[in-house]
Amino acid sequence: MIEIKDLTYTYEQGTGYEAHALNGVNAVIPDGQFIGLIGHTGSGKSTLIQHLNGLMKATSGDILVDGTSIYSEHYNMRKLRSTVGLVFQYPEHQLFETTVLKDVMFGPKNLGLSDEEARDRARKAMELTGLSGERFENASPFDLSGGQKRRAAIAGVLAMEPKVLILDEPTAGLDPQGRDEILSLIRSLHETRKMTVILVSHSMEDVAEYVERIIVIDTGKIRFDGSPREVFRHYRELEALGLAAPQVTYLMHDLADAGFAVDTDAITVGEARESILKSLPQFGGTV
Amino acid sequence: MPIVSAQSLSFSYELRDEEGNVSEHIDALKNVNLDILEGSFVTVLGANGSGKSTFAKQLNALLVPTGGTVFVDGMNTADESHLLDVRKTAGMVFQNPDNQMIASNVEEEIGFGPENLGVPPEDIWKRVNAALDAVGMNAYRKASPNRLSGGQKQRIAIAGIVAMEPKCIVLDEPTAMLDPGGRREVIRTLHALNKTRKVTIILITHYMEEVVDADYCFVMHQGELVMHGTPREIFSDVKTMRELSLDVPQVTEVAYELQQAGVPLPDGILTGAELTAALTAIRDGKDPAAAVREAGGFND
Repeated sequence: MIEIKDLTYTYEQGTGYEAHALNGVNAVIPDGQFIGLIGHTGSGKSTLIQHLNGLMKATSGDILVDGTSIYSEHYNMRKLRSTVGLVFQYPEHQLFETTVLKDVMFGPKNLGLSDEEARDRARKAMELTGLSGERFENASPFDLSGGQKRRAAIAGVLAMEPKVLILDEPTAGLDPQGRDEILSLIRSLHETRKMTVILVSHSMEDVAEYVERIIVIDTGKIRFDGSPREVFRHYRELEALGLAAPQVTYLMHDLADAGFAVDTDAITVGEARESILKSLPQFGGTV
Repeated sequence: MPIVSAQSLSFSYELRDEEGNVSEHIDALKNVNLDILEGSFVTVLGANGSGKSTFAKQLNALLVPTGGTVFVDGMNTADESHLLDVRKTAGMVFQNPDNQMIASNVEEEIGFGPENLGVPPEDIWKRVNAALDAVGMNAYRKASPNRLSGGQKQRIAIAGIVAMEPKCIVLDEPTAMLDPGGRREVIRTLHALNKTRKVTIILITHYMEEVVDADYCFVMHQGELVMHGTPREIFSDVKTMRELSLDVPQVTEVAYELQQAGVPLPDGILTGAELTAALTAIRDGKDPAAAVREAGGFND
């Protein structure tokens, strides 16, 4: 469990440029939750996730991981970085080794594991990301396709066996199929390995489809925190924050305005289909 | 005359191993034939690796064909004597705005292009002003580009191209890194440039909803042009789009799912207003296609 307590991060403190990137953030992230973190560019979401694995240090406030403050004396930061795995934006830009296997082994080796253990972990991680077999192990990471490179980079983080996986816009620049592959991979990690997942995304449709809780951040503060249905009810306010609701939400409101008894909380294609069918007398109950 | 004409366009390259021997031959574009009309707003869709970025680079001669010909405003891009004129005619905007910013403030950033073209200083300022107006960023002219939001940066990148007064702007996934608000800003700006200044817009994107308001759409797959038509024609074929690893706008998907469940909806519904009109007609026992036409759809 991660507890974020009154977390504040101030840039250029004490100068004329002083600015709060985070301003009193409070949240509890229980084990095994799948969270979507949304906010416009510059809202503070990347700053927040970099605090969660200790890459940035708060100006004030605290973060407790399983009850212990990561700012306490002698806290094992190296261990934190393996517990909380962070996949950056465009992580494939960080691939550098001569083979995919070596690249994926880099993380676990840095944790001090033997070659053998690191190789075992790398192979497991590559299997999870659909890159198993010698064909991939010995391939240069630079010969992989865009979607494969990204999965190789994610495998590098998974090989450290984190309990919490944070991904910063993992689908940016991928085509619809590549996007679906990455998101299904993340969903299966969450479901089968009970991993806690924090997904930073600019796609409201993806967030609506996959996560169980949404945290909306704006000017360094949490503005909304709840289930996707609850949060997307505030779609007008979200628009004012440079965000939006899934396209389906707008459709459901149009239909409600036209007199259909539809569920305006429907946020996915499946939910919309079901609710619209129920509202059509000719098709009622065909679901 | 079309502003862009690709005739039997092919582009291939070779991968070499460490010893310099050819290890693989890649056909990135295969016999592509298409015309883009001046003043139109077209989109290019395709999975990663389908050749759409390679195609975009042909349009301002960053790459030249290895087979066939590309004409930009009548100029053969392979003819080196036209290189500068081709690049003046077709400006490019890329995915990552940070890679395109070089100056310390916005107006210098925008003035860089025309200055390089040898435009006289007083005209540069006129062009900078006009370009700032065109993208709605006049209030930020003295700002440092690195303090702007993603959408604002991308609008500045577009303004930098606009200041070179191209007839055509090619954008390779300009919204891929932007938040929803930034995406809205950029797409709105592109439509405004197209409507008020008649700039031809060629937009490459993975966001299907950005395609809905375009005049025409091309779909690439493994280096070939596999579909072309109005967005409505393209998105009417949900099955093929899925086979090409692509998608349709969410509203079209809902309409398709309802059709599959037996609701007699016409193909090619693109917007919430159209779907609402069609469903209202069905509920009231009227003709859904006629209702969509009344709602302003199906007239393209």
